[in-house]
Amino acid sequence: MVDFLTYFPQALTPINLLVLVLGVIGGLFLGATPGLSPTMAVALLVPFTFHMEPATGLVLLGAVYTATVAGGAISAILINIPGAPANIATLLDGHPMAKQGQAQKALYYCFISSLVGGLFGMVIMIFFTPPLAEISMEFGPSEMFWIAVFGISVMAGLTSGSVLKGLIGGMFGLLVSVIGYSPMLATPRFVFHDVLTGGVAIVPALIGLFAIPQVFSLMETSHKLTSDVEFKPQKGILLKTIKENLSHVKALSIGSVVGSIIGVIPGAGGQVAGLIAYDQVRKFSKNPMSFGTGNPEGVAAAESANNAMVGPSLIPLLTLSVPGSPTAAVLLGGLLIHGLFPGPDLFRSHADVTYTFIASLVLAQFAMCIFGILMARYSHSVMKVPDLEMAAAVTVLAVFGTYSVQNSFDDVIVMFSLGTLMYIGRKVGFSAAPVVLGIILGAIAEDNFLKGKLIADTDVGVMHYFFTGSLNLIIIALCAASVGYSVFSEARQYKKAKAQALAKEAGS
Amino acid sequence: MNRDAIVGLVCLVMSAVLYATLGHIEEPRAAVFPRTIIIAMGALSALMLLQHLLFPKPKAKQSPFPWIRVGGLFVIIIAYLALLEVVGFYLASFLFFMAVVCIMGFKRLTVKQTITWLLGSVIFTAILFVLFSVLLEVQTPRGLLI
Repeated sequence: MVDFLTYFPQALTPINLLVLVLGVIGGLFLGATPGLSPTMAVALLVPFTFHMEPATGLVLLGAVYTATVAGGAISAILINIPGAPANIATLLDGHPMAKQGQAQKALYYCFISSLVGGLFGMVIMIFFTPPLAEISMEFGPSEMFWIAVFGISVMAGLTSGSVLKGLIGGMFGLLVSVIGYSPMLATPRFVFHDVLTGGVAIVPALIGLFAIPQVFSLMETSHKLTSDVEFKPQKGILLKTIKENLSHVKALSIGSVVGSIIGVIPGAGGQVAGLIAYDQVRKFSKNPMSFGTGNPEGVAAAESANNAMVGPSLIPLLTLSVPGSPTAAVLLGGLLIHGLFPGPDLFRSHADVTYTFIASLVLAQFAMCIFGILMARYSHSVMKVPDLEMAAAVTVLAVFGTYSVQNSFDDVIVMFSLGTLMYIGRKVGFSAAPVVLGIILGAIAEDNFLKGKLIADTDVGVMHYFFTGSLNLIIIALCAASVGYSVFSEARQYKKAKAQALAKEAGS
Repeated sequence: MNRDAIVGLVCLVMSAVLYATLGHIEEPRAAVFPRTIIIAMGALSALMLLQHLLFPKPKAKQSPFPWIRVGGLFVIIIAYLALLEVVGFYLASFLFFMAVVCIMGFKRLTVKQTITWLLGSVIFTAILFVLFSVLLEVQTPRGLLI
């Protein structure tokens, strides 16, 4: 806490504040645009941070991350399409509110609740991250190897519809990470073409995997965003709404606590947080039947939860390199390209950058609320950006962002090839998040695997070294638990789908 | 065979091919990690194949895939990438923007709409130029013209 307060003023420098405000406004716009995910927005911005000081670059990424999650609620409320997966629960009551002529109130609820949840999540993050980072000091090569495997296994289970597809995606990502020359032995691997000689850099991979599939998806349906909401801005309802919103203590508390807990669990993400919090608030409500018909408590629960998730999702990221959400995985790429490696070193050698970043996330919560409320009146026009123009603009930015990393046209080819492959993968049920995590964690996994093997070969043997010791066993058990849970969930869904299909057949 | 079983089979074949390519590697130690991953990937692919052969999921109705729109965009992007190093980033981006909106949005093509798109493309390219080349001073792909 002392360190946080010491470095807090650094987040208030004019350049950092300017970047923060621009990031928040841009993030709100991007979040409100259906079809553009927060993950893609952050991935596209990573190359722009190259030309900034590390702290300023991270302030920008953090601000966009925070704002896109809240901005996604705008389209959820106004046109019943969540701007981001995290806002699915918001539309359940947000859109009915808008249809009843309370669109502005629903938007105010969204930003105020996001601020409450977001601040709660940041407090959790500030208090828990440094001590956990110290614990990670105990980790040797075998534990770090298993941590990398754990990150992939968790992300694999929770972001794909199928745990096997998620794990295969993660393995594919690990394979992509070894393309090029072996870092320890300088031997070429999987260099099938000259463009692969230098390996696959993180930024082109991030941009390709998230932006290109989205561009193709925009082409699939000629989205004609039609709104059944008549948006009439009203004057003088802000103070009344703030008072009313803050009186929903139960909804805000449950949302904030659930969001923070889900955020810490690697891979769970805001989508789950919003839905679980919404469900819990409905269960505890005296009038559960009113949920889904325009109950403001539903919006408060969902939005406080998905923003409470933001801070805690960075705890496993900053301490163990295991991101708490797909967007946090992209942020990990942003940290690595600035030479910042997760762990205790981040809070010692790079304390200035790390704490400036954390402080800026707190400020971003306030900025998100203020600019979100200001934007609420004009938000209806935000979503009118046509698909074709959007697809063209995103492609151009993806090409520029990729090229600017190393001034290499080869990177652009790699980015587009990976993106096209990912688009095909998405069509058959694969998700980009485990692949990206595989690429990012691949270097950590291989480095520690080889170091561990060297130690093991001269000492106790590979099996003994990697499969004994309490920390190893705990992490292996966590890997098994995460995969086991995902398999269990999948089996339950399969049974449910089969029962529904049988019932349908019997009915017809 | 259902779609997911085919995906499992493709992944299994891909694992086998990649495993075979590692046989030619000069330094065997550099192949240890990739080989371990390929074995894991092959095992998971085999599991997926078996899972979907033994327990096929009920087929969901799928809408027809818009081959022309997606394929059209793919071709335009390939042309854009080919043009980048010939005419430079800004001109190629301008042409790409126009190509996407005019070709993919040909149903909406009217004189008024074309002028709007033309102006939009010029403004978009100008913003890119000011942002990247003037403010950020970043290098962009250069060609014969710009």
